[in-house]
Amino acid sequence: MTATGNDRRLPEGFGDLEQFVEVWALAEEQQRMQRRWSSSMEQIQHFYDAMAPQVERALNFLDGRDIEALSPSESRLLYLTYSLVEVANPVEVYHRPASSHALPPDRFAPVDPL
Amino acid sequence: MSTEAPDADSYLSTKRWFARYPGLGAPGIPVEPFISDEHFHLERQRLWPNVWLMTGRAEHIPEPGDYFIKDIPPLNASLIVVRGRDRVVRGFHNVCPHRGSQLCWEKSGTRGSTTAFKCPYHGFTFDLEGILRFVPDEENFYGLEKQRMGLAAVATDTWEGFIFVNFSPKPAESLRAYIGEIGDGLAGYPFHEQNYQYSYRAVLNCNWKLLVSSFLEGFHVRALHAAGLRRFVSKDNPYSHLDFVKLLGKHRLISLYVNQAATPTTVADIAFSRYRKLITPVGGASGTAGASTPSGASALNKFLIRNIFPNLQLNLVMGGWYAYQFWPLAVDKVLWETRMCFSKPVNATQKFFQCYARYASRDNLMEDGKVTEHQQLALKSGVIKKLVLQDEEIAVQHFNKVVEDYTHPQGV
Repeated sequence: MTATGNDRRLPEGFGDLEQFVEVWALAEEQQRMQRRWSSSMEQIQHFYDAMAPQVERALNFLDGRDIEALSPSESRLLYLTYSLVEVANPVEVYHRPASSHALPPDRFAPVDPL
Repeated sequence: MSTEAPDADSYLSTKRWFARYPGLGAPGIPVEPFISDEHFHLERQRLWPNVWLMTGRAEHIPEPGDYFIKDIPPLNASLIVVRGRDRVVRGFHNVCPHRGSQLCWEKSGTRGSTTAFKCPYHGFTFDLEGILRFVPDEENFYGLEKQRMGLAAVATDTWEGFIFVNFSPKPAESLRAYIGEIGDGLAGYPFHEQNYQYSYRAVLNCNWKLLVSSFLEGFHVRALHAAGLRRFVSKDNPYSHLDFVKLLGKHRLISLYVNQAATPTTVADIAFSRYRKLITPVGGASGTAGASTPSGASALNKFLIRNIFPNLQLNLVMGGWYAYQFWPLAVDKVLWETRMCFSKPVNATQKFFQCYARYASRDNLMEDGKVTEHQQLALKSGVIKKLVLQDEEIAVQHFNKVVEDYTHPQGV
């Protein structure tokens, strides 16, 4: 299902990142983990290369908003920053989507508070 | 004495620890406790009913009537932990004394609030102190002694806001005595302020003691976590010799060095430097992120692992704390619950930092989990009878020996 124009919108000035919204602007940690594990290194690197140089600007912008009342486009931007964290290890230390000797994401699952 | 020999205490030395603890015997522990159904049964009989077990946090149940459900798998028990009208926290078996239905059917960890506990089966009703208050169709019961049909209680006590239970009818020690010295460095730590909790759940195909043991040494960091953590291992300490080990009765404390000179990765650098700008001490701030450990040790170059017997690991991290718990489900199956707790993030920088701290940790934990499953598969073959331990793995030996103190007291 392709996102419509509105569903992909990010705050003004972050239009260059809108191409990544459908794949990487995911609200839940488990979704982001699954996305990382099922992506190719090319896809991961492409996202990382675009997002890493923008993340400080994104966080500066979001720091100026009410974090408890983000608009949908602001939330999408925040989720992109979380996905950058998710792909940081693949790009920076593992050089592959996940460690070759780690449990897959369904085996170490984020859950509601214990 | 050669002036070039390292100081006996220094991490440049070898064979520092076992000599200090002759009671542990020679290095090495048997395999049998990890694979034997009989040993698992002995643990169920002799260990789990006689220890204090952490179930949750006091601020999860702040008001009278608040409760949470907590399963205790090794004892086949489900507990209701509830704050009474007198504000005292009590633990009860989640069992109706009429015909044994569970009173609360929510899954472990669920929090709720109530004025009374009413059994869904026939309507027996208990108050917040566990006393039976209403018996439906009471006149049809023979010789009912209502005062003896309250909810079955377990000893319950709180330390630094952590709610513990003990299934022994007469616990051998109070909770504070049980915790002992390992609690000293944590007195006054703001756990209750850092109560924004992220949780993870894993069921692994390995004995619970194997998983506990994997966190009791730094020796594996260089190899197992080569990609994720080797940069934190300094060249002059390639096998992560410990800063110190403290064996404190039933509990253990180990201190790992973290290489200060490690070049931060790009995203880590962004996360940490933005976060540090927020926590530059101003004094009197909301007391949130960035509290250093009460002992004063820098959170940046040493990492303390606190292992509280039998199944709780408590680590302080920058701006927060992590707790891991390990619940045996079978001799070769464990439920691993991980909490990563911080102050509630109030802006995007804090959310981003907490995200980085969690995901970086989580990736390494997923490696720890996988290797223990391969250990269990290998040990089940029975081809090796003994685990060979080196000096820096002394905490592994100590933990497993404390288990034996319960399962085989005085070598029985």
